[in-house]
Amino acid sequence: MVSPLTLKLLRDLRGRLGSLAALVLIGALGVASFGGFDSVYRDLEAARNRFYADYRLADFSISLKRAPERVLSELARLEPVVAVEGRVRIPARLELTGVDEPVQATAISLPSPPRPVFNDVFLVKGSWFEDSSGRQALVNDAFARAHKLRPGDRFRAVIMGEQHELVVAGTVMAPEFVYVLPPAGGIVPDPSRTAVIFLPHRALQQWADLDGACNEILGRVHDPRKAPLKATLSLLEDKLDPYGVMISIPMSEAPSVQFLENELQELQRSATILPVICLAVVAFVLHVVLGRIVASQRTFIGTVRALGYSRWQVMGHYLGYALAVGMATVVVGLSFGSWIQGAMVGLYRNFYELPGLTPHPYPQVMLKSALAGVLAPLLGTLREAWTASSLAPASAMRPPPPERGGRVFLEWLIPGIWKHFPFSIKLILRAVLRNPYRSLVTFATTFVATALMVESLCMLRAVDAMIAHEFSISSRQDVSVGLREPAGRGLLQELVSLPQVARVEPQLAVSCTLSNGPYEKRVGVTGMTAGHVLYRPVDSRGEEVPLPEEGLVLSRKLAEVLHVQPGDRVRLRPLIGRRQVVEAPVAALADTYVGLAAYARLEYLSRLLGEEWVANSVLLSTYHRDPGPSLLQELNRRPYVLGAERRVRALTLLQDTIGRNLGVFFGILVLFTGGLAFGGVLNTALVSLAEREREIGTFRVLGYTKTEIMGIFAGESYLVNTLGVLFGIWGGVVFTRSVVDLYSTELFRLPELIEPHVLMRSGLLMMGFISLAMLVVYGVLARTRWLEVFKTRE
Amino acid sequence: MKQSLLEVKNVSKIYQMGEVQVPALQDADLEVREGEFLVILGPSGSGKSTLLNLLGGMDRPSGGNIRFQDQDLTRASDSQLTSFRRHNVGFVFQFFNLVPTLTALENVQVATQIARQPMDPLQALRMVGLENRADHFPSQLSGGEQQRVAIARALASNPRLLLCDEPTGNLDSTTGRAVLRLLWDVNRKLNMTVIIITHSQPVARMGHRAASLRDGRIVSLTENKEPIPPEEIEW
Repeated sequence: MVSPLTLKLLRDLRGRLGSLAALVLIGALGVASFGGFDSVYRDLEAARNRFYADYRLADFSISLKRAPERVLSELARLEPVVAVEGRVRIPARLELTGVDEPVQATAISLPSPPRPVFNDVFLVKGSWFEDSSGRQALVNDAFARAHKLRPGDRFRAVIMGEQHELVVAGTVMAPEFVYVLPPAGGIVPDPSRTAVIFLPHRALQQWADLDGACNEILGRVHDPRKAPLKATLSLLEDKLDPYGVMISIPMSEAPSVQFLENELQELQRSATILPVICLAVVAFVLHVVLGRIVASQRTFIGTVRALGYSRWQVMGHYLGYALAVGMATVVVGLSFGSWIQGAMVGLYRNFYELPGLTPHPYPQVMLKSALAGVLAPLLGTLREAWTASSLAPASAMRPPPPERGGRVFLEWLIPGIWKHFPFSIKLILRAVLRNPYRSLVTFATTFVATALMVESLCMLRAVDAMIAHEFSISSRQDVSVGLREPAGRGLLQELVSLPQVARVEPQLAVSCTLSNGPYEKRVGVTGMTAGHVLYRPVDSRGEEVPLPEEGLVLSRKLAEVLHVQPGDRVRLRPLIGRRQVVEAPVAALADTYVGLAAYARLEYLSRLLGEEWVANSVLLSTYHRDPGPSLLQELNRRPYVLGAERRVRALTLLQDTIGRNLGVFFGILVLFTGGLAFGGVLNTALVSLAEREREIGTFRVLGYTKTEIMGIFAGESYLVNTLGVLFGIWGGVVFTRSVVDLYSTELFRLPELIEPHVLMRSGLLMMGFISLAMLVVYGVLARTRWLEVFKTRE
Repeated sequence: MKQSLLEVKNVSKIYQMGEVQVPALQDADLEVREGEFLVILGPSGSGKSTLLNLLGGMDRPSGGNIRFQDQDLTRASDSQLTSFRRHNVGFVFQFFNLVPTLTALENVQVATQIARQPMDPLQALRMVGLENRADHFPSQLSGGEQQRVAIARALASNPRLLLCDEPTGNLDSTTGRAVLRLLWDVNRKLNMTVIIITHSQPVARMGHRAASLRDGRIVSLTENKEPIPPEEIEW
């Protein structure tokens, strides 16, 4: 049989269904983000670890000009090395019938028939190569899906200027290409224009003029920790020096591996911040609500205690409110969380080529988030339940001691001014200052919601500004052309004579190691000629940073990594050419938000390489902002062109991908913060209204209209909430700064953009949400049967 | 013959309590005269508070007709009733209903702030003998003092009609008598119409007239040729 106390609890809950439901929703958001994000994290991490392990991701890779295969066995004998394998990796251009723009691709050799020792591929569709002739290729699955390519379909690949007819043998996913970025630079995948193709080792060796040799070495070491691995790589670089080492990196620094790791870290952060805020709000609000319930049920408590119910039964009864809210929170939260998990894993499957990435249930995560969902309301109401259980039967029957009057500190502080305040202002100020706890909860909720709102809007603006900075202010070319081999002045003449082309500027990008004492970084140094306008290093305000005749301009983050400032000198060692180490002065700093960058005059850079006036890419400006595919086709027909890309396309892709995803993410956050403010304000205002229903009744009797009364009672709410919004804007600025710092990695950064109009808009939006809540409160006030309050005895 | 202020004709009030209809007042006829001291008498549940609420424009009757001079309260809108209370009625409650976070003076200002021709709030407190307690909060005042503040608040807006619902119900006899004296003075000196509801039979002797209610009906209406001041009343 259900006990009468339980029945009463159920009926009480039913009577407060509306306000409790609002609370449950906030709590459910917390439980959902806790469980959902943590589950996504586990799904992604497990799929990644499994893929890396099963398909033998190497510990390092070394690219070089040409190393004879016999050198591999020498390397394998080195003590720290477990095994090495050589392969060919070379840029390619693909041409598909019906696709007017060429596809930039990376061609990689795979042994046939034995599987590679490292960086094996997972066959999604089709089969392995039938022979080593090079008729067949494996293509990465995302590219195949983007063009609906199936095993048996044909396409052309231009490798080292020669065209090869290829048949798709199968589609694959590769552990080193989980996140495939366009080779020309870019921070979002473009599967329709970027491909990775795998070809039989012997065939690719021939096509790349690497018979009996390789240009990339993969390997595994006994101790893969960072420092020993770096030491081993130095050792290997020395051994391979005669073969023209270009770059050697631990696999953990490969772009795809880094992106995935970054994403996992972000998921972990999301799984912490949001739940803590939501559950704290639930605990706070329920604390206030139960305090009010206990105060209004003193007679009931006295009666049941007099009838012989134990204090523990009373305490249990009141904790039942929290338990009910907690359980509803958990049910809604877990279902919402599993929806978040499904949706996010689905989103990741579009971005990542990762086999076995499916949502799995994690009982321990569910248990953990369920526990948090129940514990938060219980902790919030422990004190009130204890107070209820501690009431002695006799004193519980008596009305609670009357509310204390008395002065608030403002009256002592500014007696002269206070005297002139109308009673309504005094009423508001006293109500705020006499209920510090209630005011604090309201303040804290609005503060947190506003800070989150400011941060969301500032970050959205920052993303826009970042895209504008990188793609409009810094880069102003319409087409960028990558060259297969460094070329001289003659080439520019040829390009400028092409139809549509208005201006041509050469660029020379050279991989270099920059170092300053113990600090070392390998970056691409970009050389530009005097009078360059199509690409300019700029500072955060968009002002051009001029290039010195001698020396470098570094991106701010690179300077930070190297611990240098303008005026300092860095050691610069090019990874191609004569590789002579020189000391270069740091002339100035520029701001970039993607990767690390260094700039120099092209003439200076080519002198360092020991060659005169060479460029390995060319920027074009055209008479139309978007020259369309015809110019690109024209460019791609030339054998010296590795690939050409329209800036409009890169920009559109970036805006689409980032804009859409961040838009959705921050849109949810804005709604969430609005919901938090709305729910928080509504809950505390309703509590305040219930506590003061007698005052409201009195005002009504005295002839105050509903609007006049609302003015007085809303005043309290507006005062505290306005303070919450104002301080929240300040908190949001601080929060935005710390998030910008947090997201400032070598790979990707966001500008710290705090604009007055964004702060104003956040503030106004929050006031809008607050006013919406007050409108609901007004509805409640208007429906209150104020005459009833005089019929009940205190 | 004094002029009629309020006219109640054939008024009834039925409350819907869940699924049951509870008749709180039936076929009530009453005329309230300008400047009179009217006592409404009756035991708990007899319908006297219901009648008072109807007279004060706090509620609308289910049937019948109530007029305040030219104004029909029966069909008045919510805002018309609010305006009626604001400008014509002062209320005194059994439980004082002072705003606990306002001082005595500020509680009076609650009424004067919205009145058309209010008294000076301090003068209202002076009338009830509490000018030196003006800065005290309700929790710092005795029950009698709180009720006097409530009376000051009711008077301060210069209403035509003062309605008192069991004004002594929560006070000891000495304090209660003092409060009744105050109401007596208000009636005599300010010529304000005062209606008191009480369940105490002796109080009826203070009034010019006394109406008795039982089970929702006015069972008698007696005229007092010589009302006696509260000090002479036997409790």
